[in-house]
Amino acid sequence: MNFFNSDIISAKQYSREDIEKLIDLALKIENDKEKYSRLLQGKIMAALFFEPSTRTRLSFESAMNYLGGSVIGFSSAGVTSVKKGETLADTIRTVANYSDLIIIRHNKEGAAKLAQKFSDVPIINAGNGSQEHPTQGLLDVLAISELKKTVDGLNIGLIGDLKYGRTVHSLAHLLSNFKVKLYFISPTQLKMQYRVKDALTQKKTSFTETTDFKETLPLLDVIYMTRIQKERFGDLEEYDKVKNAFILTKKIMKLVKDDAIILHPLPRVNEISPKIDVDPRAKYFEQTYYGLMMRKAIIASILLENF
Amino acid sequence: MASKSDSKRLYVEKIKKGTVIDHIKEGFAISVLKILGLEGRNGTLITIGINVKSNVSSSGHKDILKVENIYLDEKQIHQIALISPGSKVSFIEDFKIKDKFVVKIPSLIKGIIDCPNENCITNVDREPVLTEFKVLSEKPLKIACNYCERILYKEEILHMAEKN
Ligand SMILES: [Zn+2]
Repeated sequence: MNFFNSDIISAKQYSREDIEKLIDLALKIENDKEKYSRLLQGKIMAALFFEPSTRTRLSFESAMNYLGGSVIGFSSAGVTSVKKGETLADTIRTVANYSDLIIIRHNKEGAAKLAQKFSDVPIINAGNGSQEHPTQGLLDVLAISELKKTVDGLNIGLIGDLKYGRTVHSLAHLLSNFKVKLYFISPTQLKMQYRVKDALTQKKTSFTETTDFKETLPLLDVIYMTRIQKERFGDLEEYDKVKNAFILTKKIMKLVKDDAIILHPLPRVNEISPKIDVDPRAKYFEQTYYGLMMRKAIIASILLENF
Repeated sequence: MASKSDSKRLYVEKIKKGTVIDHIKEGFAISVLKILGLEGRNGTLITIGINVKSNVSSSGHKDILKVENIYLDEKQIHQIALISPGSKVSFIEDFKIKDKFVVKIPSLIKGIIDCPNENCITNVDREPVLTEFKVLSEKPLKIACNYCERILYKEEILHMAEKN
């Protein structure tokens, strides 16, 4: 697909060829940073974060700045006219007049789709409710492909809250373009969304669902951890039962392959012990750098024709 | 003994002006009334036939509704299509059929039912959009919200249609 002027709403929109093209672009910019430092001069990106975020917002802003463009926006709905009751549709129609590209994070599912309807400029979904976070998925695939030097042939485990975790939905969709074996490891209450599994089945991607973390760990080449939130449990007793079952500790790391990598979209709470940070398999901080690389590629490919 | 055409007259011609909905899936006439928001408390004449013998229906039965002085709008027609596709609607004027058609599920279900996902952007007050669902399968009926991607099956679709 041609990325120029296109929207990013769902990870489902990408083919393998698209993903590989974005990875190539990310590496091309990374290998010649100086050359591209004025690439987007005169362009303005609006970052509309109706829901707080650190990494996603800062990496988008940083990417735009490194490429010579400018950034406007807000980082919480509390400081905007949304607080005064403005609709998302109205905010988007307004901001589209002030910018060349809109990044949106919103707590409602379907928000990016609505924004797309009312915007004259491209929209990038930076997380909408518990639905999707496609650019996080793209940076995760870049991280896997760079750190493991391949995506095909890998056993990839997505662990934690697979029901409400938007990053794992996008990542699963993207990985379904490769020859991978997916393992969905979660408490029963937080199993992978049916609609995601349905899409994977249609693409003939192999996946296994399990609640057994320790038993599955030794099989994995990529261990993608996510946070299990207390708020997701109606019954706190249920939460207490599962909260310690999906945690990476130094002891449990002995079960993990020597050449496996540990990823996490961050922020983490207690699901990865800080004692593991020094383990060479822990790659979640490097992963954030791939976020900057991928977002540069995404922004440039949307704002420039034939880049 | 009444001939076939006589029995047909019994169903249709009694109404001077209004709507006849025939060949409703058996057991769904009450749901159709809910969709139409009709309870009969305002004096409207409503005739209901439930589990009436039918030669056309595969089960041998159907429901039928006659509502005087009321015509259905497009939204109501599509809502009926969601719960009982194949129903036959006739608009009557002066005891004559003015218009007659079979209701069909539209390929894009737009503004016909709300999304059951409370956290869907279409449920936010004042956002200027209609709900949109695409039909994933007609038999059994399975649809998905074009915004939040929530998948709805028959029971939930019926529930949302009645709620409207
Ligand atoms: Zn919805």
